[in-house]
Amino acid sequence: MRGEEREPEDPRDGLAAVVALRELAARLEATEVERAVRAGWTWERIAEALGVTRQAVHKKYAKRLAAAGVETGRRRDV
Amino acid sequence: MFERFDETSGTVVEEARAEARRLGATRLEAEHLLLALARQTATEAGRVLAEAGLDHDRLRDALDAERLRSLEAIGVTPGAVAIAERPLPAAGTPRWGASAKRAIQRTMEIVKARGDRRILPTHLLLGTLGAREGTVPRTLAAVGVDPRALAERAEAALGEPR
Repeated sequence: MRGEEREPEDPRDGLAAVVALRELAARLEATEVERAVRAGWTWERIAEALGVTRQAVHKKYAKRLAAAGVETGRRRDV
Repeated sequence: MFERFDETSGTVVEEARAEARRLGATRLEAEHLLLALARQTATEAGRVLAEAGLDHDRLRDALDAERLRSLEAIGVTPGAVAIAERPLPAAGTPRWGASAKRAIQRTMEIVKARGDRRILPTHLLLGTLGAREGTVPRTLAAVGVDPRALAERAEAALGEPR
C-alpha cells in the first residue's frame, strides 16, 4: 500500500500519529477558544479552563478572532 | 537567500503562507509549499505535479486523508477530527516550520550543485520532494506517487546542469 514492505510496528506510523495529533490539538484549541469567546467568556476564564496564562491565550488568539470578525472586547463573565 | 528566487518562486512562498493560514496552521510546512506549487499550473513544477494526478485539490484531499488515517490508526475517531475541521484562519505571518526549512535547505543544495543562478519553482519542487520522512512522502506514497519518479521528471524539465 505504501510502496515498500514494513513491519506492523513501523515507527513511522506512530510518529505520524504524533504529528497528526499535535495538529488536531491545535485545531481543536482554536475551535473551542472561538466557541468560548463567542459565548462571551473572558480571556482569563478561557485561560484558566485551558490551564495556561491569560497572556498566552490572548497572544495566540486575539488577532485571529478579530481578523475573523469575532467580537473579543467583552469583559463580562458568564 | 530569497533574493535569488525568481518571481514565480517568490509567489510560491507567498502562496504557501496563504495555504498555511487558510488551514489554520501557525507554521509554514513542506506540505504547504507543495500545495502552493500545485497551484502554479503554468510552471513546470505545477505541470509535473498535475501529470502525476496531483492538482491542488487532489493534493489537499490526499493530505486530509493522510492525517485522518494516521489518527484512526491510534483510535481517534473521525468524529473527533470533524469537530476541529474548520478552524479560524491563522492571523499574521506563519513562521517557517522545520519541514519547510529542510525543503528550502535541500533546494539551495540542489541549486548550488547544478550551478544554477536563479531559483525556480522546479528547484523548490525538488527540494520538497527530497524529504525522507514526514507528511509529504507519506501522503505521496498513499496515493501511489513515487517522489523519486516525480523528481526525475522535474530534473528533466530543468535540463542539463551547467
